Amino acid sequence: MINRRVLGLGGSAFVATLQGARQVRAQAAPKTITIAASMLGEPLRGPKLNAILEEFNASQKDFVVKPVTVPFSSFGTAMFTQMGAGGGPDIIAFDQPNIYAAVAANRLLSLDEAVKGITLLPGNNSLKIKGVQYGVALDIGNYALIYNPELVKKIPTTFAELMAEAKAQTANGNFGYAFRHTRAEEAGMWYDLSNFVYGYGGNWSKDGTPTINADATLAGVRAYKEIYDAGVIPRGADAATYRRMFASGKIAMMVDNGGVPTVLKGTNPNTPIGVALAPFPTKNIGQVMAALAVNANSKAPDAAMAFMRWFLGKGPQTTVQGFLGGSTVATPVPRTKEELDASPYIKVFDSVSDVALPFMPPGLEVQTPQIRGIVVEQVLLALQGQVELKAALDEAQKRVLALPR
Amino acid sequence: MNRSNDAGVARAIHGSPWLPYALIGPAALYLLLFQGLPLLQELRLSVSHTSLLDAAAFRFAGAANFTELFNDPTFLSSLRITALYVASCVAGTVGLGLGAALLMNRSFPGRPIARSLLIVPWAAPPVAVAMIATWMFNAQYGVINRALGPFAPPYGQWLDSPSLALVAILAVTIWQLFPFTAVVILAALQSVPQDLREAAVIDGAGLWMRFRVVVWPVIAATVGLLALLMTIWSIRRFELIWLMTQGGPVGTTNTLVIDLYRRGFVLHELGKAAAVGIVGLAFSLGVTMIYFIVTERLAKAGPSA
Repeated sequence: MINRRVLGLGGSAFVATLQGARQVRAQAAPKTITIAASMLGEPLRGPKLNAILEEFNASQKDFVVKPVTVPFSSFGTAMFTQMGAGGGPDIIAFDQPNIYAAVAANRLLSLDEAVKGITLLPGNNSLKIKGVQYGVALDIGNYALIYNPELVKKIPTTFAELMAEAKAQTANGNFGYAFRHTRAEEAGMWYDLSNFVYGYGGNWSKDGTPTINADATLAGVRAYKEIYDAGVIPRGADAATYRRMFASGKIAMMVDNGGVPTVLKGTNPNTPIGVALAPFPTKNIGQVMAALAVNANSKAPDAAMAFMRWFLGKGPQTTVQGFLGGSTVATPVPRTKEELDASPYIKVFDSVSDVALPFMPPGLEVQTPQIRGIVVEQVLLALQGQVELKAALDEAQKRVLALPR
Repeated sequence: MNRSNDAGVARAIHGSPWLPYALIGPAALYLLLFQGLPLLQELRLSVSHTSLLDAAAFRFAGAANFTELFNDPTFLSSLRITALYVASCVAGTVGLGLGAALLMNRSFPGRPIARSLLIVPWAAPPVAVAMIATWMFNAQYGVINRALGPFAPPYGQWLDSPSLALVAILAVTIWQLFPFTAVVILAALQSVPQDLREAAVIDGAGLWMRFRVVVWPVIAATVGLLALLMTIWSIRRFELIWLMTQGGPVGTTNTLVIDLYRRGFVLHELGKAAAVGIVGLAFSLGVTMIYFIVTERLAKAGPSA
């Protein structure tokens, strides 16, 4: 018969061993965090960004980062729905306006500690809200005129030349120009429309006061409408379609961002690509940005911050900029000779960094989705001939002024 | 012995006053959990200023959301477009379905194959239908413009034309839904007494008279129910419209559910979106009540009515 005391001691020892093993395992288990970015699902850049995450995991013993892939079209909605319910990925690659919306709802953590001592490119200043850095750029894409050098022999430098060239190129199913112009692509149309407005020296607001019907803004929108009315764009074609058309030699010119040449080359590696400054009266142009931010709902903010700090290091930044093409990253990374030899047009995108503007009305950033919706709706009414352009912008101005602040 | 026991149990069950409750219980519980509670939550949201980014926070708004909605031209326009879309869908699907069912009820070579093919559009997933239809209506490469040749609209625009976008969406919706109404009406047509048809033919009744006097009274209830179902489904239809136009151009396909989605998930205004949902619910309930009132009156009036 087994002595009861021996049995009790044996049992206690067994339990203690189990608890000890659990503690050791808990100490040894790395913290797992998640990162969501629409780029992760892209056919060209996705695998390369995933490789960066693997590089981080290989370099760490305390943290593991796992990718979450959500398509671009539903990205903001999916993230906000999860965050509003108290969840969501730990690190999120948002569009700029979404950063402002998330900050307004106290859904992001400050990155001030994570970026301490790191030199950031000026574009990151637009992610600093009330003196606090809430995001750092994953991908900054400046806009410029992308053209097919086999079709366009004389690069337009003025709007009149652009219009003349676009008309000359439009025939037999080919089009001289392309931009987004439908409600189905509201965000994209806002970008393309804003490029014209910025190029004409205008903006949607100044210090929080809407300037939608100001002269310079009106001039930019009028130029956009002139191109639409001239019948030189493939009406109804979305960005994916007309970019494919460009890659097949059916579109001569478009104002698009630095990441697009990589997309075009991905569609057709032999696509001839030339890039020049957009032919508008001023050098001002738009800048699109995907920025990394840390979710305030994160259960492991220390791990998220560790990832952010690692990501802003020289190695990862150089690798990411290497596969972004004409875009830049959060920190200054010099272009390599090989990069410039392979894609000389990169210099043009880089040259407008100091004048490139985000697609958010200054001082009204949080209300970007509302303002965008109102402006796009009114401009579409004008494009369809249902209202005169000036009246449309007056109406948009009135409605934006009536938005609750 | 066993048989008498079974009979006793059956009598006890059938005689129990709890039987109706036991039978309806599971369905009632299901409805309460998955329809009733979300509906209450929607009601609560509709009287609040709630943001998508802070769904847990509740700020009472009273009737403000509803007042703002009924002063908002976008919302009023979406009500008109919804009414037009629903009426066209019901007329199109039930009308075309009735015609197809009457055709399929006749005897002709290859009828079984035709009946099988008829159901294909209904069986197709709406998302796939929307994607294919979008390409078919594409201004540059769409087969519809190729087929129309010189009769294609200016610039080949369908989904970007304020006057044609709703027409295009209606065409796709009706194409996808009419097989369902056709199959249901076809099933109802099997109940039309053959001897009555023959008697009508012998009496010299024409095609229209035979339909009105012999066929219609039998299928009328089914057609009425289909009209109700089509109405409710059309009010709720989202994916097809969202994928094809997202409510554009210039709001010409902006139905209630598209408006709801935009307010909730693009503008992050959950409170207003819920208020739109409540208006949609009231619209559906109104139609359902009218249906039941009309049905009851017709039933009371008798078969001659």
